[in-house]
Amino acid sequence: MVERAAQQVLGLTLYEKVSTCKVLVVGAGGIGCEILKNLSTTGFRNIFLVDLDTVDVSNLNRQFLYQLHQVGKSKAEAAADTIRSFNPNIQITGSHADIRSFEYNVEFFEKFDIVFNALDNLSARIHVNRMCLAANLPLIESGTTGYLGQTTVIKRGLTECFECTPKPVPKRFPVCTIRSTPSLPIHCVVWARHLFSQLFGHADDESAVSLSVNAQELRSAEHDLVTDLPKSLRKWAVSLNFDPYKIMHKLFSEDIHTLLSMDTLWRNRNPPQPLNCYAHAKTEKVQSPVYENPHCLPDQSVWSVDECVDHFCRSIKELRDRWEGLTNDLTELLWDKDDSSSNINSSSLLHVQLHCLINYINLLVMQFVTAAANLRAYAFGIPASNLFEIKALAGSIIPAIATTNAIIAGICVIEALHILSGDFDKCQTTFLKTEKNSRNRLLVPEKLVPPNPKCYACAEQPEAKLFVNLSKFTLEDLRSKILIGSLGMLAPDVCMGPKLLLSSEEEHAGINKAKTLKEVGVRPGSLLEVEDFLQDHKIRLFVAEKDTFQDQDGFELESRSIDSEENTSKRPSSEVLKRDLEEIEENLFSKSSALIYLSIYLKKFIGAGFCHPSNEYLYRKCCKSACLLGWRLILDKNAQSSEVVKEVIACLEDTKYLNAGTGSNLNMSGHVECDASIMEGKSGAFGAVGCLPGVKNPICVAYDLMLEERKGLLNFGLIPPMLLCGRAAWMYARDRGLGEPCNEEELGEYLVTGPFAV
Amino acid sequence: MTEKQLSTDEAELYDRQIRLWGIESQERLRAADVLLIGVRGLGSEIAKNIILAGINSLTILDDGEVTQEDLRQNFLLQEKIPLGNKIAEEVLPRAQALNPLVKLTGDTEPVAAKTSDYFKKFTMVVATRIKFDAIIKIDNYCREHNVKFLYGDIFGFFGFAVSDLQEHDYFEDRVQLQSGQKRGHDGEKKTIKVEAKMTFPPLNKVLILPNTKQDINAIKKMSRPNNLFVALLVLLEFRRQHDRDPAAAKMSEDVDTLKSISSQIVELYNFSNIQMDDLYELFFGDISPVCAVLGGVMAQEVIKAVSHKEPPINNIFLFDPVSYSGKELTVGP
Repeated sequence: MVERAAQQVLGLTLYEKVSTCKVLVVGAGGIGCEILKNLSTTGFRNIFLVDLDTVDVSNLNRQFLYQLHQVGKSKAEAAADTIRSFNPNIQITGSHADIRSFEYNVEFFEKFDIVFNALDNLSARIHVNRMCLAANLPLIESGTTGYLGQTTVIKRGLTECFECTPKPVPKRFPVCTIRSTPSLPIHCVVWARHLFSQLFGHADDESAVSLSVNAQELRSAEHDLVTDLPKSLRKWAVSLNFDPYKIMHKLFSEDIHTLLSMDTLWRNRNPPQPLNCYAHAKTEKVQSPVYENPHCLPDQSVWSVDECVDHFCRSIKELRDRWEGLTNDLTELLWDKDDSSSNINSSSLLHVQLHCLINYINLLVMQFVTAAANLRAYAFGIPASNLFEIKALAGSIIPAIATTNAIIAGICVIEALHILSGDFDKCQTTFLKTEKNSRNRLLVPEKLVPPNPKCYACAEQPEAKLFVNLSKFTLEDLRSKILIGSLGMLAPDVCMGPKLLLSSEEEHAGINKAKTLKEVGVRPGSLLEVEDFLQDHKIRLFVAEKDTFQDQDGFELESRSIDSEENTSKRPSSEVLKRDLEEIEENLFSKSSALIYLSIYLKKFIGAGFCHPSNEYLYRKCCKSACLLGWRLILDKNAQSSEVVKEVIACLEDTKYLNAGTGSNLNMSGHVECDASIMEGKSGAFGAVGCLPGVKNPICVAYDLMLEERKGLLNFGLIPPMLLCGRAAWMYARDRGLGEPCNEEELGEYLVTGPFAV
Repeated sequence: MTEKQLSTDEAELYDRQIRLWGIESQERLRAADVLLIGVRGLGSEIAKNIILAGINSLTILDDGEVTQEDLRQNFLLQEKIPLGNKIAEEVLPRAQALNPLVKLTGDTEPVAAKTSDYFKKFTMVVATRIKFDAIIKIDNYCREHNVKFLYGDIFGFFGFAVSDLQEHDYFEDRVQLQSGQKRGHDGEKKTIKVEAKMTFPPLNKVLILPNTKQDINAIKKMSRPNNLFVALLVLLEFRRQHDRDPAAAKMSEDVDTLKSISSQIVELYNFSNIQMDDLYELFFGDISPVCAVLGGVMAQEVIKAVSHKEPPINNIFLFDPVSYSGKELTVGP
């Protein structure tokens, strides 16, 4: 009976397909819950759900398949239970697992007809993308933040895959900023998180927060600051039985004094002020906070120095007690951005108790981090933040609401209906925007883009060129930095010819990952065959030596592809670029978009001719000053985009370091001849000069020709010249006084690019 | 709720959305009393979203009974529920489970029986699946008592919403960079509150059907007539004439009727260049993912209206059944 209603709405053929097809949903969070509901109400009958997370209180405002009594339970299992109670005819399996685990191999994926990605992290998204490429399955990808959302459909060979356009990498801060010269609240929060990890949690070398006591040593090392080994800070704290005042005194007084002794650090910065925590200790009781703003949560009041000291003392003592109470199999305290932890898997009273305990520990950790971050902020004269803000900064929390997820999940299932009807050409990318910046459009569809032939993931035969310092770069670097870090693999094997260099199996005889590439026989030009069996993904790496990389941290990957160079030029600009442009357009005026393009293409411009890497900073400086000039023209003079482009190029021509204008290469007979052209996108007007001698700024001549063309026809309907060459161009420039014709002396300034090149 | 401040539990529950729209909006949401008319495919989506957002109370008004269609499609119902029970009562347990903090009431009286006074106690009225006369009548009642009104419906893949927020004050947060700062760099940002006002026309000057004694001249001539706006009127007129929606079982017959109605509308509005031939067959049935999309948009409009944060859609939202784009259209005097 129920089925008949569905048949009428969808039509018999589509209904058959919907009720028999097998669907994999990865992620049971905000979008996942909505997708599951839509699938069940649309008539889908076979669903497999994977999620490794557990239900948290802060999920309940949008992940509506969960209720308060399910907090702490597996999301996948809880969601499957709820869906079954809507409709017992649905075959739904909820698996509390990581989609990247080995049981979910290509054969597993091949059992499905459609895959939905409802994930919140990049690495799982990349992995599912690869699995769907390998199994040749359509993948419906989706994501939301706040009011904004996006869905798209990925199919091997037909569309861009998830990795065809580069994704922004999460922001990291330079170690020295965190350690010695913080200038923003976030720097202090990152520092406080590291401090917590070193005292109670899992610490790594990079997160060293406290300075060595030997200031002499520091002065000699200057920027390469010597730090305590992380373990020893904990050891030191244990030896003091975590005396909060001694710890505070070291962190916020001694360490700050040490930093102050390095005067070079403070030449262009405001020096920090050491805090006297003992002085603040005298005010024993914290006054109850007074809220100035009526619209304010208790967590949103900012603590004073006294309050920070008090919270620091209390939380560190309690954390110490918890830490000392840890049993053998747990030696570190962990914390989670949400108030529950994912490593609990029981479902009884014990579970509820554990959940409360974890909530309490997380609250302590947040108080500790807030107090420590703010004390540091006070010392460095940085505005202090409240606990509510610090929670977001420390946990990278993204705001999320039910309505955005509902809209995006609705579109996802509509796309699934298209795929099942065989109307793949109807599938599209859809953006959910706020109407104020997209001209009355809330849901904006865009055509799907064909695959990027240079993509590492979905190209027919992916290839890349790898630049490293062969005598520094080790096999472990290759594995962790390149194959896993940059190429998104999980368990790579590497072969060079018949020789196995790296194996995905943990212990493999005869492989020493600490050896450098040179030691295992890799030479410039060597070909490495990399394969990840789990992802069924292969890539060929051509190795090239680049000894300007001083250590194993330096590497460069360059995509190569045998087929179709021309395809790439047809591709629209990358998503990132598009987004930047939109933001700029929204906030400034559209003219400035020309400049954004400009600053990107400037790099290309200066690339003409020979550029030695050692002069890189000079090239960057030139680009920067040109861009600044452009900005100034836009902001101060409200200049037209074409004029801005002209001025910026002229600025580049004026520097002798670049192969243009003043710095041009000589031709075979030892003279300088320049070319320049400019076109205005809006009117299509165009002007160009070629083989132009004796003019400093050829672009000004081209620009003038363009302006002439824009004015329209000459007398008798003649078309004004668009391209002038050689002597004719020179005469034109002279007659109109353009581009500063130069004299004999100045001609001597023309240089073969790169007087600094070795 | 008597206490002014949000409790810690509420702050934790609503954490992610407070981070988006702020405490002030959450407090206004918590003070809002909403009436939802019609709790079928679209109505249940709207109910879910605004209950999750944390309003004070929701009254669900629907005099209808549970049907096969509802059991298939309405996730607020369990399959065991016997056909013929009052749907406004049967949805309550599941709706309450979404958020125990919201006060829920079911009302099984017909809309037509409600008088002007009934609407007085609400902050906002949201209606789905009602007829044209009821839209105009409720809008009038709402205007009498200064209650905000939003109406929307789904026909197959097509969905729309029309709002009358009367005189609506709202504010936005704009992030300003400190002077001398570069975009894209970290730094101190100042958020300023920008207040603005919007005036909405009454719906009898927005939705005009043939033979209703309405004044067609009240509508400003549209420079580019929108096919989907015409479709909206055609479907309202179909429901008015036939007392039902286009039915998949009588598709060819109903498509003919729709075509003849659309020529009447085009004539009434004096539109030219209206091409709707590829649309008619998409107007049949309740497609649940489309309910999800429109339910999300409409619930967001409710949240914006009662929290007075962010500019609302002024005054029509149209979801395109072919391209799945969603547009704002302003119609009225």
